[in-house]
Amino acid sequence: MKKVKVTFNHETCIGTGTCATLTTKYWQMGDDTKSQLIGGSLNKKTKVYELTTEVDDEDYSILKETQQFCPSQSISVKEIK
Amino acid sequence: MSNQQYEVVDVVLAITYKCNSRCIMCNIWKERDHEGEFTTQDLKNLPSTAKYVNVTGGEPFLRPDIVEIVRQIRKYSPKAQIIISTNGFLTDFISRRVEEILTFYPQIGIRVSIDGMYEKHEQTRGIPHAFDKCIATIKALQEIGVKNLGIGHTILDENPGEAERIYNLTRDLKIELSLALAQNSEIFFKKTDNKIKNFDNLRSQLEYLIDKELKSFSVKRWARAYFDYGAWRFFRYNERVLPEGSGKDSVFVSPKGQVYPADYVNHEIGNIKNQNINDIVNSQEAEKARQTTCKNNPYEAWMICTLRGSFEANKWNVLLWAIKNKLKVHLGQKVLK
Repeated sequence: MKKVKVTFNHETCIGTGTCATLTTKYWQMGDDTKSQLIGGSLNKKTKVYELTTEVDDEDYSILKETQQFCPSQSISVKEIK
Repeated sequence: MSNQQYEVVDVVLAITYKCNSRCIMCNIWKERDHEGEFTTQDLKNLPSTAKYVNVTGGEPFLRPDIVEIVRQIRKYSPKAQIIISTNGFLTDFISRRVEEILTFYPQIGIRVSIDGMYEKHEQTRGIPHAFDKCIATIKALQEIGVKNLGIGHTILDENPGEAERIYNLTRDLKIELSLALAQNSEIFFKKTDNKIKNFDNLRSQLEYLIDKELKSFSVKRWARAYFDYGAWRFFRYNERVLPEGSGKDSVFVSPKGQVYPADYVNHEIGNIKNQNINDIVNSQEAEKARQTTCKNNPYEAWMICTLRGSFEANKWNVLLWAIKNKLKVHLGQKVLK
């Protein structure tokens, strides 16, 4: 298992839905046609949504893919050592 | 409009280039410029004469105002059958939007694109579990009461043998099959190297579909068989069994409102932000496009949305062909040469 921190900038999201298509475990589409980070909470200081969680290799790989293919670079997935 | 020469009956309306797929035969998903999309107010310039409006993308359900878009199409093209083409990946999201549309337009048509069974679809779309997502969406749409439901399938060299499998899937699910063949577009798919070279596969797939459609007792399905026959003549022998109507009775509209004779004709003839589509096809620019770009077009294609007018005009010839070849297939003979 890996401990990861996922951050998501709702402001810069352009709503291509790629993340929610790749995995519905961590992402869903809101009625504003922008993505939502499931279980994420808004950091009022940085104004991005954050989720710290433990994931297996498969989930880590798919989360990294959501970061890689997000066209607006609104997603960051970092492993916490 | 009565003194005008051309009236548009078929509109392909790409409402956004945002896309959540990563298809091998299309580069729309790489598009980053989503500024300046036409508004729902601009749809007042849709032609009142339209009989078919195909709402497409990108992934059209990613446009937040898709429900209002359908409402405006109903208002300004009231005779049109509206079909939304979707990749079907966001099952719940799509179902919620379609449920809203059904409240004021129960006849809405939805086509979910599937290029092959199981992993074949994943390979062409670049999305894990793509096939399962599409089937889940089809079943969800059936549950909420969508009657005009189907699969949009594109024959490519990369999916040999899949057309007949998808055909049988549509029969099992009791839904429609809308067939397309590989094509190129500088303005739509942003791809110009799609090409069918595997003629043995193309022939076997089209022969299978023609046999099934002609053995039916539905005139609509006989017309589909003729479309398949025309596809073979077009791709194998580079000849048209029916003239196409791009820029005359059919147009393509981009998300920025630019109007083109077809998605495979790179010649902008107007914009729905400031002109009605029926005025656009009767303009000097449209005539210029028909006389030059359409005639010397390297990306010419065989696609239903530029052929519907021709089918209507040639319906008796199509019927005659169908009856003649129906006898052939019942006698076990091949239609394609």
